[in-house]
Amino acid sequence: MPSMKGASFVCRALEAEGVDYIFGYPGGAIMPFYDAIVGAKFKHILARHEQGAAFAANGYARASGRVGVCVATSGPGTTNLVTGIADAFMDSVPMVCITGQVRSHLIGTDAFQEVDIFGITLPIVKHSFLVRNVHDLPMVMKEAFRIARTGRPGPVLVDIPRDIQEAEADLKLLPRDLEVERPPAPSKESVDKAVQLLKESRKPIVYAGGGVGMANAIEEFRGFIKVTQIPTVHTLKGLGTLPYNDPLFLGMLGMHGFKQSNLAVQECDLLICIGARFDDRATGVLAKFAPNAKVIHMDVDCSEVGKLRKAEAGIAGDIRPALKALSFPLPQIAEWREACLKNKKEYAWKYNAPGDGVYVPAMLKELADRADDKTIITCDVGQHQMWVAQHYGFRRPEHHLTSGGSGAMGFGLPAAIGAALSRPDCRVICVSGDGSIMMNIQEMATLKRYNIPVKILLVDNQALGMVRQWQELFFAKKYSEIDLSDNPDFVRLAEAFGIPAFFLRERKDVPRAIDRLLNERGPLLAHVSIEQAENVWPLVPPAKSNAEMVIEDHNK
Amino acid sequence: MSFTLVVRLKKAEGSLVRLLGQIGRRGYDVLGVRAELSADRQAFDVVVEFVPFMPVPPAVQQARPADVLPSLVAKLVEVEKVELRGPDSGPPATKAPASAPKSKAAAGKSGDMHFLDE
Repeated sequence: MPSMKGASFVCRALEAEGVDYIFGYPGGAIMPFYDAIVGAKFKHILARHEQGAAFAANGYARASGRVGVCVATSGPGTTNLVTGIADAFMDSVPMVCITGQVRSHLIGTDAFQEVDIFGITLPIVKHSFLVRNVHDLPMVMKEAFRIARTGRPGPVLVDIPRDIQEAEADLKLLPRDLEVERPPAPSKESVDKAVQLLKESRKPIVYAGGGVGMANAIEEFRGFIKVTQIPTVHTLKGLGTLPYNDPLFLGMLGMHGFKQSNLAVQECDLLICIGARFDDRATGVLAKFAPNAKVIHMDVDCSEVGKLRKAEAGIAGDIRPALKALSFPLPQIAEWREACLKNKKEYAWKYNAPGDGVYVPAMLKELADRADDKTIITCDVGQHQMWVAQHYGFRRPEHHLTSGGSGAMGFGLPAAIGAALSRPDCRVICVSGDGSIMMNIQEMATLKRYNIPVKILLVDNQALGMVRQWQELFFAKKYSEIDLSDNPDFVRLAEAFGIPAFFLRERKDVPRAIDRLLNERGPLLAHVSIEQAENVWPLVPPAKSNAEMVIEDHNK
Repeated sequence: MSFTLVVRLKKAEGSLVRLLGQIGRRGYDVLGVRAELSADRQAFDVVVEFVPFMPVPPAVQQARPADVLPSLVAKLVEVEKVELRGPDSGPPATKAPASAPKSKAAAGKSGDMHFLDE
């Protein structure tokens, strides 16, 4: 490879990694890179805010399993990426974030648009590089992608001063790893211990999270459940690991989990945690979580094992061989399984809310029933996010893109853009709220510019609904700063961006609205007005155990 | 009750800050640090004395178990070896440890079993 500028080398490295889309926003310190991408084999998607670019790369990665790439300039450009990077860190999403930095000799001088993004992001990246020498670029680019996708995935920051981008050097691409490194196999002793616990158990429950899908262990996981017939609950990020219509799937657990799920976990004698991390939204008060259970904890990240809950058997590494080793029939659990399935039937959601207005759980269930197997749902954060988790039946985890760990409002729309570009074979629907959509509303311009066929299902209660719900229930109905009744007219707003839109309020209009969402080409927004007083049920109140959930009357 | 963490750390941009940040963020109070550049100037030998952060009542949480920290530290890309000593194994050594710390694998990086009740 002849002598080239550092910026050109970064482009060649991205091409060599097979990158097809990058998401970004240009500016002063990243201009050499933007000069170099003209004619590149990958396509640049111009977001309208760096946070939108970060979330789009995040959604791209979540939907495809490939590394998402975002780009920003120094200073405010990089700080605008931070929420998207933190989200990727919390949810273990593989991303490479390329940032421009002021020239090397200006670093540390408070130069124009200088920000120590390396330092700012230290707690929220899997790793980071500040490139001090143009000759380091081959190693840095190769390592950035390798680290992002290896083991427990995560975001990697590559901060490149402008003079390094402009420097000319003889730079050669390092050979690309053809296969993702598999994590090490778990130890025989740990698997043997788990086998023993499983054989002794009479009331086991599988508690599975997003780590199963990330480990490419879906088939092994489903085989394990099929053979053992253990009732299963999922975390928010685990939804779809077992298809929603599998008889052994009890539902999501935790703060907004279903009663049958939380009761099963509370009563089990063996909790088999697979690719999950005892997150506080899943466990409630940790000391009261599954109080009678021994624990088998399987995770690619050994630091998660025992971090929050002691594990009698900790299996760190590749979960696939462990799942195979644990796949044997368990005739002794038949009675327990029947009890769990009886509860599932007894506590099944009734979808019979009174009134003529749109009932969101029923609308989402109908959407799931009518959508095909290749429909990806992205969410924002709040009540609608929990309704999606509860009532939209997922068949694959990568079809549910939600900001789980960081809970970042504004995630849904840009993540949908990334998902739609990475999975053109899939329909992508963004379910959002009137609070969340406004956080990255500017990305409607991106939808229009590239005519990306994302459908937006906007659930509007003219309030910050989850905060309002908590103020109602736990702050004596003292409502503080949750009113959004002065929202813009979302239909006209979408149309101003050039995106078709329509409004509905009546329950009877839902089937026709879903027709349009499923069948129209191009981007589309459905603005759904609902009652402000709607709450998400069940709910585990703060400082309570998951056994103490509250459920609305008509679903008791 | 203090513990000592002995770490071999690749010398790289921000690696010392990253190490200390990881320890503090994950719920451990750093009481003392000594870092020395290795003879080949490619790595740091770091000795960190710490105590698990103790929540103040009415917080109900327990202090973080110290034996979880090595695996949290071993996740960092630049960490080559890590060893936990203690409790109360004394203040940080005045020199880099004579004996080589355990490898990352010994901290659980490569699929070790964790029987935390042992």
